[in-house]
Amino acid sequence: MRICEPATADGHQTGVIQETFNTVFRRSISIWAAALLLATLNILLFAYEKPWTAADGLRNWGDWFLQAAGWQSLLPTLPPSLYSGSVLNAGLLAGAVASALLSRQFALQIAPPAELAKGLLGGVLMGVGAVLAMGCNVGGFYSALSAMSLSGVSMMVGLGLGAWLGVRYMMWEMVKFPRLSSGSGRSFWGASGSGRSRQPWMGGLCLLLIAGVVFLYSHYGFGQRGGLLLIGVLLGTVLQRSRFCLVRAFRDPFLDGNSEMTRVAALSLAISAIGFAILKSADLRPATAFVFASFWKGSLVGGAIFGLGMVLAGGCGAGALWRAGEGHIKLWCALMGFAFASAVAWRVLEQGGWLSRLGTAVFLPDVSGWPLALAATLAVLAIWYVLAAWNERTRSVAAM
Amino acid sequence: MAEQIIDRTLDCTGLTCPMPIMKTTHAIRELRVGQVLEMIASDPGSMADMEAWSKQNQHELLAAETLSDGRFRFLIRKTH
Repeated sequence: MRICEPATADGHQTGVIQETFNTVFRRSISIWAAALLLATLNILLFAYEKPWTAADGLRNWGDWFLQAAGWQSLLPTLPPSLYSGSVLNAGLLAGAVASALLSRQFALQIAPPAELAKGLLGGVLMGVGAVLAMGCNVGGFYSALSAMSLSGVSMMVGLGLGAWLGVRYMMWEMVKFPRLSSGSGRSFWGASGSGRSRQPWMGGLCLLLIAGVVFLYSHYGFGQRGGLLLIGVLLGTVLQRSRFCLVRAFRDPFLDGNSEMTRVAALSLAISAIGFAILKSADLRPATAFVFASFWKGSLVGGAIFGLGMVLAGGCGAGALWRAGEGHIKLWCALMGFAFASAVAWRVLEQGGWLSRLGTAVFLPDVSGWPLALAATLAVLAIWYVLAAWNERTRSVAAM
Repeated sequence: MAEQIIDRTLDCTGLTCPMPIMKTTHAIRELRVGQVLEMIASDPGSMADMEAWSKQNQHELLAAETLSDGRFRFLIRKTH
């Protein structure tokens, strides 16, 4: 049986296995469905260990590299194979690779040199911004806002500012220096639209390898890490299949006015916030989790730097991971810049005693009680949703 | 499909979201009404993006296909 053909729309008979394969591995997931799945996975992650963040694991990779190069941190560095954030990121990346292969969307894509440089620079900005804000787009905004940390709101404002600045730069560059992003890009190993491809088989092999690694974790007494790897694989799969993207949520209103990803992100955040509120208010998980002492200076300034970086790179921490898994070399550059810069920035701030001066930790329910805190969080999201929808009609802040 | 006269080709191979859309918007502005732009991209997101783009900007998407090397090819007619 040939199981790598897409289902045909013209009533052509397809087998049950093929149909199941196509539904699970081949067809894209709507971003609205992805919003629900990602929020659910984030709640599951919080229940399992701690909320979703990409910056933490990326910094671990940078730390590990710096330590190997002889620059010791004041805190001991766990090896990436055992550090939870690193395992989650590795799972996300592996899940995206498997998902891209299974859906025949993998290709080694090499952008023109100036684009690769922009990826690296964007990654460096994100790394620095994530240290100042104490989290990335996901950890410092999505999860922190869900966790009722006021730093999530100030980072949201910063991310908006940075995204606006990034869009201004990109428009300017495209008009003044169109050649920087023209012509010399390459793509290898792509699968043709019709006919056979080895990619689904390679994707299946990836899944087997992942299963093998989970087995090894379990066998050596680190079953908990194996679980994190699996949640990462699910995150990577959902992200790649849906192309859910928090960068778009901040960028598109300023770019072409499209509001769909912004509205999707607001919905996903609302679900995640309700889930987190249940886990925290029932004392199932610690109230202080993901309430960062970066309100408001660190999260606002860090958010703005991160926002600019994510627009230049074309992906935030998690977005860079799943697009790197699809074969985009520009996002590999962004990941390297992110990991390295965040590890360096952390050490500089740590050794200069700056980490405690980035702001205060404000847990909204401590200020106003649970009902008002949850209502205020949902109101912020509703305003974001309505503003984006309004801007799509009026194009008030859209650049093109 | 019959041979289509192409007035300009835009190669977005290797570029990630949102560059193909931005460059397409820019390129279509420089064409006259009725002229056709060919755009080649390698990002898997470009298929959905171009469909949404042509609806939003009301230009006619004459073709959207996957090439044998896995890249995507679009033909867009400027309609206004």
